[in-house]
Amino acid sequence: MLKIIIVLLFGISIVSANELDVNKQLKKVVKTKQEQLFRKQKKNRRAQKEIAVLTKTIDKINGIKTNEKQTIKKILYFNPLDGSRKIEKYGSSSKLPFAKYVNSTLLIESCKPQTGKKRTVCGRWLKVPEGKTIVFSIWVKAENVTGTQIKFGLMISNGKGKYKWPAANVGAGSFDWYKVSFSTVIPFGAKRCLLMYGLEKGIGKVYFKDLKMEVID
Amino acid sequence: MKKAITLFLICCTIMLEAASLDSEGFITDWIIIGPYPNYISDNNGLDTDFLNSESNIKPYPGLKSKSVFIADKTKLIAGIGSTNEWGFIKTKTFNIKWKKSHSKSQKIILDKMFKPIDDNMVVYAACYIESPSKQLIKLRIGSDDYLKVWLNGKVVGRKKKSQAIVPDNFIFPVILQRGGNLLLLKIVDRSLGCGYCVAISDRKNKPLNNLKIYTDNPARKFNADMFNNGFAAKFIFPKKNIFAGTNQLRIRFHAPQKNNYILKLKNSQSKVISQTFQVKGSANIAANIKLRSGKQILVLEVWENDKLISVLQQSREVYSIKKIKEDNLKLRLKIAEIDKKLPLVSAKYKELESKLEKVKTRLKQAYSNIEKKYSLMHKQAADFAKKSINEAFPPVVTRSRLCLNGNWKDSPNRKKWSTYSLPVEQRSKYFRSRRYPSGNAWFKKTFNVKNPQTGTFICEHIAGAIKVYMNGVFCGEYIGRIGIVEIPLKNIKNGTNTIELFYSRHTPKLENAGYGIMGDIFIDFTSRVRVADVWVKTSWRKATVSTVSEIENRTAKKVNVKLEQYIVLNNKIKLRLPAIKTQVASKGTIKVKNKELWANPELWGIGEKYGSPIMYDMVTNIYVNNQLVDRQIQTFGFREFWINVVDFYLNGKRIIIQGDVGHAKWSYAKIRDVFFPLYRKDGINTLRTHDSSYWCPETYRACDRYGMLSYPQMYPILRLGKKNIKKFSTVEEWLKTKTHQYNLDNYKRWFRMLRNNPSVVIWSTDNEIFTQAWDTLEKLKFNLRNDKLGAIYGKYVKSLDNDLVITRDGDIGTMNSKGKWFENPPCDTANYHYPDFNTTQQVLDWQEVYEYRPVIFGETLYCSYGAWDNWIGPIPSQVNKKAKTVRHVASLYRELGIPGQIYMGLGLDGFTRLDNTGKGNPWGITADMEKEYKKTGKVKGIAPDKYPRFKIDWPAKSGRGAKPSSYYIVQKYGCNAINWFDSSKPSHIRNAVNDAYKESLLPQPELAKASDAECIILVEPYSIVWSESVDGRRYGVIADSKGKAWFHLATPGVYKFESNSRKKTINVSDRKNYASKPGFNKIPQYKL
Repeated sequence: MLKIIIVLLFGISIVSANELDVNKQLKKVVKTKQEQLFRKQKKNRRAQKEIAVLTKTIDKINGIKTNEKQTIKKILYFNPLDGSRKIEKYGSSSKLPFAKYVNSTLLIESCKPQTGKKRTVCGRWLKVPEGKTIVFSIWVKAENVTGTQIKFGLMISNGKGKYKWPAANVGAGSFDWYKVSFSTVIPFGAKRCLLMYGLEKGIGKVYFKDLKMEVID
Repeated sequence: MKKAITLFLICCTIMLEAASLDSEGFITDWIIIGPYPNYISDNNGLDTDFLNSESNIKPYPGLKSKSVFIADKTKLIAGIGSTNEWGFIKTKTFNIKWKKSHSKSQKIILDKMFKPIDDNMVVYAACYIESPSKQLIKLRIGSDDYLKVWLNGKVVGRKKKSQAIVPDNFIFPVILQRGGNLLLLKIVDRSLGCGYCVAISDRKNKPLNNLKIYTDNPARKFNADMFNNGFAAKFIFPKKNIFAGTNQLRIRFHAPQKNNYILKLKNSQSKVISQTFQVKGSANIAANIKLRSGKQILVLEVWENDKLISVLQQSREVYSIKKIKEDNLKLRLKIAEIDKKLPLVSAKYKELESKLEKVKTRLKQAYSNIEKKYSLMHKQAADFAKKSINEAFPPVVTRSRLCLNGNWKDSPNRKKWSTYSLPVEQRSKYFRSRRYPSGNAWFKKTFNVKNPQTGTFICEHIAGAIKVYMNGVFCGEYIGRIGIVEIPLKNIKNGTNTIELFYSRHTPKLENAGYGIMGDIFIDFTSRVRVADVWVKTSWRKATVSTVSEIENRTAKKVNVKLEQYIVLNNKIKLRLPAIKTQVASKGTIKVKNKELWANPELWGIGEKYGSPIMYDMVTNIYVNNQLVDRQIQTFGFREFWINVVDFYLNGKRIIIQGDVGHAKWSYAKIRDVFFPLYRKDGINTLRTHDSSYWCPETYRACDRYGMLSYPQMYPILRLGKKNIKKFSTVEEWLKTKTHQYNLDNYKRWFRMLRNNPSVVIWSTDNEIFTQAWDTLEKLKFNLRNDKLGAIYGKYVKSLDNDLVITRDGDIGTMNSKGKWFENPPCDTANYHYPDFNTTQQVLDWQEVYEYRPVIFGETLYCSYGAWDNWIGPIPSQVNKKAKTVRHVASLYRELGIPGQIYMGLGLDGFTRLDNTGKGNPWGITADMEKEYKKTGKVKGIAPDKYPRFKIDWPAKSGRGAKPSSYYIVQKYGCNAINWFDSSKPSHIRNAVNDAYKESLLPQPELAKASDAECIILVEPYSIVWSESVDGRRYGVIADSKGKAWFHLATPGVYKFESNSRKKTINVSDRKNYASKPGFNKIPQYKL
């Protein structure tokens, strides 16, 4: 009897080991195939991008005004950040000691790096139209910003737990006023987005004005 | 008893080995291993597993490892202006091991710990933390630079950021398990300092004082892996993989004392999973345990007298056959799903590919249409224009030019004179060549002239300050760094005259040092009412030729003048411009504008559809009282170059600029003659003249004659004194300085010097103010200020002629820095250097990247045989690697239609190969010979004046151009391996890089043959020889000490030569049959 049990246990253990090997092999196959799929999809995206760029080039050579110039933008939200409104905040923090209005612009300043989940940013939740292309823009000026990239970006969820973090590449250091913008397509299922602007965890001074959210018609 | 004592001692040893956190919670005891490489090229050290399995490593002092620093020579020198990572030429392997480290400071400084490696390295640090209980803690870390943290094999933090060590910079909340915990850190240093600090606090940020820190796993001594409170254990399963259900488990248990203990085995849910064991001291026990699937923590509790005294735990993966089967099913479904998607994605690609082909066809059509549109535009304008005529061109002599090149007397103090040859060779600040003259110097020369009316001192390039004296009378001065110097002469006499030049390389408050008198020196003898300058501008689209003429009146009276202009080719008038009557005040200069429509000029171009390099003469006659007093002849080419959207057009045809960053010494005419045809054979149609060393107007005149486009570059002075990135004048302050005005004057002269050269198509007003290589966050403010100034100078040059195509070299490089470039409005042409290092972002979709402007990759494919600090040489393997890279990159540019490609390039990487075959260069210099020279300072069998500097046997030391005594051969670059002076050897030897360029670039029309002429007239030493062309141009050369006067003549034909009352008419033929051959033995010589 004992012998039979041992044989059975041994047999089960062989079966188990085989299944585990199969599992490992299948995972490898999935990985390879996924990579193959990803490569092909990437190739398609590249081709699509090339087609778009060349089409726009052709339009320009032919003297046709491009879609970009013909597009009609509708302002969905505008905040001059000139002191005429309360400083925008989001989340549970009730105090924003790092932000104040100076010469009709919003100054965000930080002397020491933030730690943990703390961020030196302002922002607010905004209602967004799903499926539309939205352009966010702001004027920005910086003084000695280090330890971070200046933040001007969004967090959007499609409502199913997937998050997008589109943002402008604002940079850091010191520079004079210039307009930064970025556009994003609002995913279906998204009702609102969290717009953020500030220093994140870095230090320095950053000024903002004329925050705008426009939808491309 | 003995055993008890032994155990007690072991226990004590363990206790002694333990350290604790300092008062602020910092860990100061570690075991460290390193260095491992972090290659600049991929910067992927943080995510490269150097430990075979970072999550499973159990480090201890003495554990060995190997680190390999691969020396990929291509990558090593690929950095722009930087060295390779570590200076190795060959791959190096280091045998390294984990070492204990105790730091007195809270910061663990890793600098100089792993010499010779100190930057671009990866270091691991680890310690074992014993916690008395399970507790929530915060790991508070500062790191220089990147950081990755594992706790018990699990990644708990990752930061890919460069910074100094700042305590508490990165805080990671984690859970310490009771007993032993392994903390592993990975630090990646990019450059400068390197180190880290780690503190541990509780969740309320208070330091913990109940932790013990070990630099070795205390359990290791007992062949175990878990430890707590002096106890150690190891769980041993018969097989590697554990499945859910009943499993056999053996436990190796170590106790510090031989007491009675009760051992309880529990699972993650604190449920007892086997019988309890009663042991006396250390023991080996076996148990059958039931395990659930998933990640399971096995806990061995040690009880003594009903008191829990130790917890030994370990996490193990337990598989479930059922779950694996389910998972396998899911995986199979997933595979089926992907298999279903793959053909769809492939089909989509086919669809896109066909669409892309159609778009490319449409693009070709658009290019064709725009060329048709331009052609129509030209035709409409030409319909109303005058057609070419063919009238005789009456010769007349009104002015003469005497070349003063050759031996001058020089003196530091005007007292003791010696002999020196002027001009000196073109020099470069950029390449740090020798400076001449040191400080101040006087030069003088004596010459004879008959009945001069007035004279003008001309020098085609002086960098520094100069004062001119004629027969002891001060005539004028100049301070600058570029452009043709013109100073009116006073006190010229009939007969013998002495001209003196006082040169100073110091121009205080403007520029720190000049580089001497580098341009050809002339005196123009003209009437007192004279044409000082003519700017000829042509437009193909509008079918116009327009001029702006400067007329100068050096007399004491106001004069009425008539200006007559016509265009001449081959001694025939082709077009007459309207005559203009005007007045010029005494001692005044006026500008006169003139314009005519011209239907059918012969177009200047690089050959074939673009037109041939045909140079017209714009003849400007000045009449005073109906008498012709001056005739000035300005050469020009009829062409138009412009931008449409993202492309360049030359005479209505789209053109791709395929250029080379010319590093050869273009101020020597013969180098141009030999090198230009070789460039063209391999696809180069443009010469970018890099930095300051080649500011010789003759270079551009040669480009005009040969049909080679050119792309000159100018550079402003942006600071004085030492560079101080923290303290500098603001833009507004700078614009008020004299140096700003000095910059504007230089730009103005630069523009005046080159505006009549049809070959000059792109004007680059600065170079790499922002660069990828040198731009750092610290320099940002300074760089931004400089860039803003650069934009101001760019706009200034554009304001001189709105039709110029301006670029600012590397300006788009600012996009990579942490700010924004200042171009308002943006420069005509975007420029990005070394995009080949980042093709995804800077090359693909270039139209969009550069905002639908044309882009010039002003420098690309960095030279591969030697950078500033690293010398590899054109060894065959390196040449072949470079050829491979050229094929890849240049083909990509060609495929994408990049409008401006300037390679760094063929002149450096082509034409040379250093090996022992002796077939890598025209002189048969081998690698061994070079080694021998480095060792002994000479090479057996080679005369000392043949290597490394080859003595040049100049046919005459008179006439145009500097004539240095020798030339540096072979060495690093292709331009040093071109033979232009030795008629006994071939001019060049091609290498694999030549072939790669030839095969990858768009083929170009053949270069035109040399169309000018030259001869040497033999007379008495130092005699002046005058020549007169059939169209009345009079040009004189002072013969050298051997009585040789070398004439460089714009066109072949019949010339009258005269010297000391002896005359001869000679038909001087062109140079097309021999110009491209090395040496000077074919130059015709005539005795007068």
